[in-house]
Amino acid sequence: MLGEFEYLLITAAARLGEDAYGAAIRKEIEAAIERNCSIGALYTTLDRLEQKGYVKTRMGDPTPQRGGRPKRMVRVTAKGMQAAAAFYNAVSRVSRGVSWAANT
Amino acid sequence: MNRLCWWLVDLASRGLEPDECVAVRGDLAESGETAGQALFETLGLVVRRQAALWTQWRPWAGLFVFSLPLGILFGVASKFFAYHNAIYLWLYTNYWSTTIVENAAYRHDFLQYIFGTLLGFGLLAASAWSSGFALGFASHRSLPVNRILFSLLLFLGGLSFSAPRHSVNSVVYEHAFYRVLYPILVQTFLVFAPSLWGMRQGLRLINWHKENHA
Repeated sequence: MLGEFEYLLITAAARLGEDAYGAAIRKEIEAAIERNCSIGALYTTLDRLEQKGYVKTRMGDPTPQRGGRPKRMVRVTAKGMQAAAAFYNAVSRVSRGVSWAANT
Repeated sequence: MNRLCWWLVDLASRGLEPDECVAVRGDLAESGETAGQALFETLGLVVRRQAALWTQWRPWAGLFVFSLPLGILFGVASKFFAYHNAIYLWLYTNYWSTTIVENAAYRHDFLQYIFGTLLGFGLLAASAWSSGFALGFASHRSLPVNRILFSLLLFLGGLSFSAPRHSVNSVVYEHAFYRVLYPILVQTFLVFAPSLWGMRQGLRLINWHKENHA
């Protein structure tokens, strides 16, 4: 079972698709949770997800806006998508009937 | 202040793996973080990485096998060498005369001192470099912590070994230069600097090894 932050990271990476990399994922997460997401939490979680086989990362091409430094590109694997779907379903099920859930 | 902060970010990010280091620096540049925020974020990641690393046995083994004993050993050995050498340095600087080079026996003693000192300097620097290299190679990712501890023990460990105040040579150590400054100079230039250089080379070798076997 994924953790809450792991789910956020996988979902942000899946939404960004081919453009998923450190800074972009961080921006997506910050927009979703409406608070700061630390680079430390992002990169350590990314490593943990990669070890579990939920994402794959590779070094991308350098860009001028990054001072010529490459991006760490992220791709969600099929196993990662399954784990995220399982987490989402569990949260949806457990949230049925509670006052703060959107469908009540 | 801003430049100092970015320099500290650079310094802190060296505690990360090379790929992660450039990716993080790129992310910080792209996000337009202020220097203070960038430093906070980088330190946060370095601390997390180090904390995860020190839950394994290898960094502890490196600490107890290399950093602690070598730091203390070099701290004491370099001070012992500096105090011993200071006696002859004091003698030659205070009682220098042309007789020393004109008289064959004095010249022989003087050349022996010069040769012995240079040999001692060379051996101290070479052993410091070798130890630094071994530490850099063995510690790898835990090197930032090991480097700080080694440096602290080198300078602080030597404090336990003070100049012999009540010996026949105590007149030498009455001068602050021979008692304080000269040992610090020896420790800095013959141990600290070569060991840091050795650590850098050891780390480079292991990174090169990793890149070529990836």
